[in-house]
Amino acid sequence: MALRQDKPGQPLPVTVIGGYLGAGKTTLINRLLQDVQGFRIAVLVNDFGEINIDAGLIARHDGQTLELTNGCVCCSIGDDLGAALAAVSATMPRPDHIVIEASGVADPCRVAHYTFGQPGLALDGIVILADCETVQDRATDRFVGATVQRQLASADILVLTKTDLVVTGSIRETEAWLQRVVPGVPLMRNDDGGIGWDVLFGLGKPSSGVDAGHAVQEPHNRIFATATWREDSLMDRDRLTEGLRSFEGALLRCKGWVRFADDPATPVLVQLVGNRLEFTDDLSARAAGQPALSFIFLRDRLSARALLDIVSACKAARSSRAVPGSLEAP
Amino acid sequence: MKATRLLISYKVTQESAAFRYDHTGFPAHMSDITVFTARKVRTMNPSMPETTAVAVRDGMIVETGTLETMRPWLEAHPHTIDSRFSDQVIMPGFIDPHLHPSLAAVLLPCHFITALEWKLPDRTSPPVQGHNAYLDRLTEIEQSLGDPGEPLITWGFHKIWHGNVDRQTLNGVSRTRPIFVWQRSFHEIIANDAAIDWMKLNRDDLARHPQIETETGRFFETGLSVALNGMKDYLYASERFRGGLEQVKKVVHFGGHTTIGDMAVPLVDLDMEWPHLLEVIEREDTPFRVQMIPRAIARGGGLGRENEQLDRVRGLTDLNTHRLRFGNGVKLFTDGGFYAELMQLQEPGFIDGHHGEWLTAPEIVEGLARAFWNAGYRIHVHCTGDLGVELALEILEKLQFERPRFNHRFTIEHFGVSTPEQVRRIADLGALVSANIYYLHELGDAYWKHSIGFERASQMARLGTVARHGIPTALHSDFIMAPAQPLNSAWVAVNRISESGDVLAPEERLTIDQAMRAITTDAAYILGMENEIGSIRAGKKADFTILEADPYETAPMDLKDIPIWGTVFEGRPAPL
Repeated sequence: MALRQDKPGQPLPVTVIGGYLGAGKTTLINRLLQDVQGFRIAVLVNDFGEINIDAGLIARHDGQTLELTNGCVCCSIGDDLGAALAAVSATMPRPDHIVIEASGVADPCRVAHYTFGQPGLALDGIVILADCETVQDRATDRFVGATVQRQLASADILVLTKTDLVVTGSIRETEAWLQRVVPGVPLMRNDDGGIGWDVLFGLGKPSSGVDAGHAVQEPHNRIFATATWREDSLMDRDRLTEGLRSFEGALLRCKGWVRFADDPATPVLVQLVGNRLEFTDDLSARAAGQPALSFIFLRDRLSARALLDIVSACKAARSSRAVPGSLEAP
Repeated sequence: MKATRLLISYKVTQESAAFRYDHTGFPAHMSDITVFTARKVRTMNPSMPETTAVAVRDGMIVETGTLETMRPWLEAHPHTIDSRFSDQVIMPGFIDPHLHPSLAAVLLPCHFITALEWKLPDRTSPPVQGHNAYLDRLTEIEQSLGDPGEPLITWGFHKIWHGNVDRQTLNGVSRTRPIFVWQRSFHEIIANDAAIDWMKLNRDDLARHPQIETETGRFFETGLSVALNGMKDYLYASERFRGGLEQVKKVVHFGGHTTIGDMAVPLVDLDMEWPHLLEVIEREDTPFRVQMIPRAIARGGGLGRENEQLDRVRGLTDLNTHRLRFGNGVKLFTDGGFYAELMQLQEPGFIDGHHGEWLTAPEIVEGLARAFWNAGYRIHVHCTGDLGVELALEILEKLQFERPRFNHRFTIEHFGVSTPEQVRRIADLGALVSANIYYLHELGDAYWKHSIGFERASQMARLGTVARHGIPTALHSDFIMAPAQPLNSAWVAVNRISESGDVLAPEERLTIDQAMRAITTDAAYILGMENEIGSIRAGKKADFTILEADPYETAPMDLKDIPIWGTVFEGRPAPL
């Protein structure tokens, strides 16, 4: 089910993976490089030495760059993230996604700012990993407490790692603590084979391609579900902003486009990644067909029905279209 | 029995009977003894603090005393009396154990416009304060440049002294010449339109960057790296770097140094920097030597692989030449830069509540320190804030507990903000201090009013407390963060005067003797070279700084103005 986002002119999405030393960034990156599911990912890492890939997957290895047989490339950042980012965004064929590993003491927001310095890139999101055994202690450590708290606060998506090493009660306690410390940020556990690339990086279509008119859609997996909303109605900008922000961490991703009543002629691209919501005027006409929004959300916290009702409530007071489109939900 | 006369000491030759072994292990003929006489020789050896003559042979001090006390030597060997310094004062050659020649090589070719005066060998940057004065000076420089296409890069700007300078202001100075204003603490670069075009940056891309202001032309924090990337090829061009190193060489001599420490090698890339260092520094006309202290970690290294770093650092001594030597030292970093207000502070922190940064994760600092400690290295740790100092001392105490070492020379570098209790702990653990005292002079007022408040700002670099605990202490410049002038550093340490003229924390002032030790004997000690340099005594290298006045007989306020005649390096006079 490989999908390329290869339209020239479309910005290259970038994800920053942050979190303190030992949170599991390298483990996640190793897993990503081994199992990319047909996507071409470029990963920027601080330390090559920690990357652990089966030798059989390595196509080429020079000092700064590792090319894999699956089409992925892994580069060492060295001391110049800007330069490394420029080099990787110029590689041909173009990557589908860039992943930057922030160092263990870095401020992930600062790392994310580098995407603005390189033309053609767009920040997809900041994913922060937290070691459930140690994150609470670290967040109050007199040396690194402020650093860890800043990392947690920068998260668009929070992933709790090493949950297999800790008793369940303690995991819940840590989750409750995290939800108090960084409220509203989607929080999930990285157990059970890990979280999919569609959730973490927005890769691939989240749904199984359901067309208008079909009501049923399979749950994505045990933890996440998907839904798609398609309707030609005009939306109210403030209401939709508020609505999309009202899910308190239950909504992971939303992507698509709409038209707002305050500017009906301009299609607006919608992108929500955890805590980060962006509306962008679609000046290069990337939107096609009917307005539609796709969602990935936490099943145990939200139902598709509730989600779609909330979105529907964000329509502008008077729709310019008489005929409503279809609503799809499992 | 007389030795035949010979000119050059380091060659093996054939002739006469009297010979000794030189530093290569080959027998070499001895030169004649040269006796330098002076108005006074301040030996910095407490056993014999003042003399009037020094006898030197083959770059080594044979004896110091008077012509009378030296007679047994002089009667036994051919000698010449060199009385060119008879009106001057001879001191041991000054030592700055912490500066950065490669970084300075990139920055010196810039045009300096500074709030405080900077005396450099080829120019004096006069104090420029006030917005109009800044622009006048900038215009003057712009008009003086011959090539109309040459970019104008200037360093030293600071809003506090120079007001608001932005893209439009710079356009007013020139619409055609690229102008880059590099802020004094390296926080930001301000560019005019010609400069933005010269860097070939797309203005729409610049507009979306949260740390680039297209209206004002300010590139700050991560935006700064965008500007630097656009300037990189120009700044690091081979010719320019080489020219910059030649300037550094003059600056080092100008300050009266005979030994310096390059306290973080490489700046970026040893393969690029080393050939230039060799070509410019390892030359007969260079009147000083450099101890190279390598970084314990190339950027981006991780935990658990410290042995790789150890092997890398060990291998560097293979590169050693006469003047460029890797020794037993290694450099670690804890918190961020002092000028950038990125030091890590204990409570109550910064007035505005912002947090500093860790340049290296604490676990990694500890892992590397352990590896190098167990291998017997001398560890130098950059600490600017008191939480950085705290981390360094926690690590040192752990290492002492695991594997006690005497004479380990663990040194706190910079020593911006600290507590008195930490000073006692430094003494308890046997650590040393190498301080950038100049912070107090240039930042004392600014940090009092805008950064951390009067109590802690006035007590930055609390060297009086350090001296009372008997801790060996050096003064350093971290050039170009401060002028590379040991007498200037000593002046700050002895007077503790801020830029506005106030005395900050008078209890922390050093005596003149303490300050002199900090630029001679104790600086040598911190570099592990106290057996070879730092004082004038028989057997040490014949490295001297020749002064027109005796610091011990100069009013404290006048210390920085003592004219320097020049130096003697390994017995060879080198006038300025």
